[in-house]
Order: sequence, then C-alpha cells, then structure tokens
Amino acid sequence: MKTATKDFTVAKARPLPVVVLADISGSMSIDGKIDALNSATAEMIASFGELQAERIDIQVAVITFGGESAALHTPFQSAAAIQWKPMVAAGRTPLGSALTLANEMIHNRETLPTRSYRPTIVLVSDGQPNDAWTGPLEQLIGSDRGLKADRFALAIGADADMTVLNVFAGSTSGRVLRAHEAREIRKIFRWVTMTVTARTQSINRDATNLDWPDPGDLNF
Amino acid sequence: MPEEAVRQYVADINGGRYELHRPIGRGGQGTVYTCKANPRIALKLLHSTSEAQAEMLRQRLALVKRMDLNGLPIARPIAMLTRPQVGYVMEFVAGMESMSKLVCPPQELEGVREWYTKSGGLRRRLRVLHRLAKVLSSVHGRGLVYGDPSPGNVLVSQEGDSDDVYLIDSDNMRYSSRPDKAVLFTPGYGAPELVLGRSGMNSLTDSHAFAVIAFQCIALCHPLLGDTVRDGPPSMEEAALQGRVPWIDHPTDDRNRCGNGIPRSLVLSKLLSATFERTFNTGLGDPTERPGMAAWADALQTVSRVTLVCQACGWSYYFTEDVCPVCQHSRPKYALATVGIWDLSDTPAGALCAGPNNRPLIVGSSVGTQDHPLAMTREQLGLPDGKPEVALVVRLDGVRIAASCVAIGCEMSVATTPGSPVHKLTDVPQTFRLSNPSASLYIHCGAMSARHRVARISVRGGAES
Repeated sequence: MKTATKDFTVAKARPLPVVVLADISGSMSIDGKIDALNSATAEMIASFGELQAERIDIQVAVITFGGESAALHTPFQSAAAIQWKPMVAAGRTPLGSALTLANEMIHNRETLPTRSYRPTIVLVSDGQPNDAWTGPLEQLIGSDRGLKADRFALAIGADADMTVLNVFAGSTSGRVLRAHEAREIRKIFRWVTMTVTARTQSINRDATNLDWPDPGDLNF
Repeated sequence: MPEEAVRQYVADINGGRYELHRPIGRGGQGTVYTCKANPRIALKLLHSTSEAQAEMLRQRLALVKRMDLNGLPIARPIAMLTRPQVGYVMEFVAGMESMSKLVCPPQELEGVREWYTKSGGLRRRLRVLHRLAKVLSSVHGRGLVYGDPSPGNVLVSQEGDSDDVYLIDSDNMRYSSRPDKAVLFTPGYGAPELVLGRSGMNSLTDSHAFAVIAFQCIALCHPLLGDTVRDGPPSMEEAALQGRVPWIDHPTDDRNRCGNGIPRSLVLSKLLSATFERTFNTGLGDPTERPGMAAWADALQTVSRVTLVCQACGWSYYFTEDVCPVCQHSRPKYALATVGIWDLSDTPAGALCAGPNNRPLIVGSSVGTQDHPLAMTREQLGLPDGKPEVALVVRLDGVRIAASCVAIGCEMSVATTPGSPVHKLTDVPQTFRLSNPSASLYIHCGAMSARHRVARISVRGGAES
C-alpha cells in the first residue's frame, strides 16, 4: 500500500488458510480435554505467527461446535495478529452446522481471494454428532475448495465417531489421527503445525508428508 | 489449568547434558533451541516420524560432521545427540538475526523506503551478499554443496556496521561428487530443475538460490513472480517457479512484469543487471549458463565497494550518479580508488598493465567519503589473507587525504607518479595534499621488485566529475 508518493511497495503475501473445527461439547470439559485443545491450538497459532515467510501468510479461523449450534470463534486473520481466547466446553455436538459454516467461509472470495493457497481443515472431536451432518459433510468435501483442501481429522478418546471422521479425512489419507488421552492432543497439533509450515519451508520430495504417525512415535 | 513448563534435557554422545531453553527457529525439518546453561551453543533437534527416517538422518548428520568446514562461518554438528533424539549440538553466535529481515519488510509496515534505509540500504546489503557469496564459493571450492540456501538459513549481524554472515543449517550439505537422490529446497529458492525433479542439488542449484536471495534482498521482489503471477491462483506461481514464465526483468518479453519492489535502475549496476540476466534468462532453463558462485563473489566484490551514502536522506547509491536518485541532494565529496597491476615483464622498471583500450587496466575500485572512509581489503590489493581484512584506509581531510596501512607485514608506499614511491605507509595516518584537483596518489602495495597491485587515489568533489 503506497503511503508517500516516493515510497516503494512490496507484494502482499499469499494467504494460506487453516480452519480448525473444534468440538466443544460438554464431554470435552472432562479429563482436561478442552484445556489441552486450547493449549494446542494457541501453540499452533503462535508457531504460525512466528514464521517469516515473505510470500506466504498463514491465516487461521476457528469454528467451534457445542451448545446448540456452531460459532465462529476466530474469524480468518493472519496468525500473528490473533489474540487467542480459550474455548469453553458445554452442550451438544452440532457438527453439521459447523461443516456448513466452514464451507461458506472457505468459499468467501473476499476473505480468501483466488490467489489463496488451498486450505487445511482440521476437525477435532471426541463424540457423536447430534445434528444432520451427512448433507453438510458431502457438500463440504465435494465443493470446489473443500475437495482440494488438506483435511485432517483428530479423534479424541474412545467415544469419537470414527465413521464421520473417516469420511471427513477422505480416501486419499485413509486414516484418522487418534489422541487416546488429552496429553497427546498437543503432540498431534505440533505435527499438523509442522506439516503446514513445511509448505513454506524446505520441501523434501522424497518425504511422504502425509505419513500418518502414531503419536507415540512422534519425536519432538 | 495450564500445563506446567516441562524441563527438557538432551544428551550428546560425549556425555554432555543440556537443558533446552527457547526455540529460536522452527524449520520444516527441525527446531533450533538455545541452551540454558551455555549461551555459546545451540541444540538442533530434527523431526522424524519413524525410526527408519531417524536413522537415515543420523547417518546424514554424521557425514556432515566430517566435512572440512574449517574457517567457514557455518554452524556444523559439534556433537551428535544420543537416541532417541536426532540432532546435534552446534555453535551459536549471539547478536545475529535472520537474513529474512533484510529481504522483506515487516507485514504491517508503513514506509518501505525508510525501513530499507534504516536496515542498511543498498550499501550494507551488497556487502552482506558479497560475504555470503564468498562463503558459498569456498564451499564449492572444497567439493561440497550447501544444498538449500535461503534467507532463513543465513544469520546476519544485528549491528548495522558489520557485514558478517553465519549459515545455520548445514544439515543438507553434501559432497558434489556423490549425487544424492534426495531433492530438497525452500519454496521460491529451488532452481527449476530441482522443482521439476530433473536434477539433484549441486553447485548450480546453490547459485540459483543465491541469485534469488540477492535479487530479493536488493530489490525487494522475487525475480520470477511478477504482478500477474502474484494475483493469480497458486498454479501460476508453480509454473513460474518451474521456469515456465520469463523473468520479471526479461529484456523483451513483458508477460511477467513486476510493479512492486525497488525500481532496478536505482539499485542495480550494469554488472549486477547482466549477472542477474544470465541467471534468470538463459540460466533458468539451462543451468550451465548460470554464473557460478565465484562469478557472483567477483561481481559483488566490485559493486559492494562503490556506493556512497547520501548525507541528506541516508539512501546509498552508486557513485556514478551525480545526485542522490531518491532525494536529489548533491553527491558528497568522495575519494575514488582504482586498482591496477604493476608489472615487470616488459620493462625492468615496471609499468602499469594496460587494458584492452591501452589505458591502465582496472581490476577493482572503491569509494569513500568523509563519513565512510575509503577502506580497501587485502583481497582487493592482492595481499595475503589475514586479519584484519581491511589493509588500507584513506580519509578525506579537507583538501588533504590521510592514508594508513593497517595490514601488518605488508609493504605499501606512496607516489605522486606511478613507479616512484617516496613515502612508506605505516599504520599511523600520513597526510598528503594533492597538487591540483585532477591529481592522484599512487599506493604501491608490495615491493617494487615484484609484481604487485597499485591503488590510484583521486578525489572528486561534490557533483563535479
């Protein structure tokens, strides 16, 4: 943006959108799950904010689903500018309305112009959705940008609905990341962070980036 | 309930134990941490997602540890970390920051020109790039390849005066004689043949990456990404980085012009323009056309020493401009040194080597002003390597000049006509008066009985030439 007549301009960075769909239903409030998810998300956003990639601007949005409907907890903005507000868990699991909201957001050409990179969408859940989700899910993963998105699903605990998460994650990746307990959530989010930031840093042609790991193996 | 900070310790194979302090750099492959107890080392931990990959990384690091990097400012493994970690202890240099800070202004900045000037302007950038070029040239000279040059891998001194560089990622270094299938690059810096998977990493892919870094640093825009590419979808950017689109300053093809950054006429000399043109025009598709690191080091040696700093606005520009190109303030008085060769092969008394047009051959030049005295390095004067690098200092002192030789053990003598030296230079500055504005002093840098270089010093006042 020109400020003085004699000043120079530099090109704006290309947005790399990351959307987190976070389950904040009542069950997440036990066993430290929502606390772990809050820490993990805050840490991921901070890591993205620290990157100094001249051409890539990681923009994060967080959509929560709990209570009776989905809410936009954090609208799309540069990771560095985000002041994280912890999520509070209570209520039911309206996944369908979160998926619909996510679909709208990633197709909004004003916030995410044509020049944006394909989005990364992370779905985190510990239980069964209790609204209509099949329609919204099909629409999201069949949509123009949803199809090209990198989709990760994280199942927390033993009660997570693997069917939903498997469909979300898609046939290319096949598997869903599992956190058996709250502690593992942070490690998995660090792996997601690393995978996303790897797109801005050294690309190793031989590494299979989407090598889904067992949290126990993660060495960092 | 917030998690308590967990103290993390790692150990090296020599029995050293280190507490990780803060992460100072997270790359795609690993994270560098400072060490709580010892500020002179840092710990690099590489990410691995399987034991097989971890083992492969350990083997690669062991190879790098054995490479001869003596005398080069490159952080290499001092000691490997023990299992289950994959990583190493490395030397850490305080007071340095990432070169990314020179290559692109902070996101929400108002006043790009002021930022550019405050961070050292053209003058500092050229000097830092010269240093970096010399390091990479030495690496290649030792039969090694750096692998993944990018601004994130280079640290520069936080002090505006110093042009020191330090390369912090030696993980990907390899021997040029042992081709490795692994292909690695930082997006934006990988040569097209790397991006297309047609080649492994070699000295020419290093040169491409260096040229991109240099162009971005000097002109604040990417040489392959013009306006249409930047505004278009990511697939256009991919195509541009694969070398399928002409570069932004292509002499005839204007499909990829860039309206951003600093106009190249303000910051590129003819020599630099030509070197970039060879790299990004024919050199884009044909790596053998690319200038190598030695050519870059030579080019940057000359251009990095011929800028003046405007006394009004601080912008640095080439001395051949009559006025500051940005604020039009008049050019300050400056001393110009041109280096020639005193040769004894034709006449026993010796003479200045002649160039192609029968005028004295010039092998290097430097300028200096009142505020930034003329300083010539050992390299420029053909003297043996040593510290300090600066060998000759010439200060403007009203209508006089004061010269001193600061290279211990080197013989320098001053003459008003070439070949007849009358004063020996010491490290105590001696003052000389030029008989008239167009007179010069000749400083012979070596014994008169042997071939040596001669620096011809003249003073040009203000805007007159």
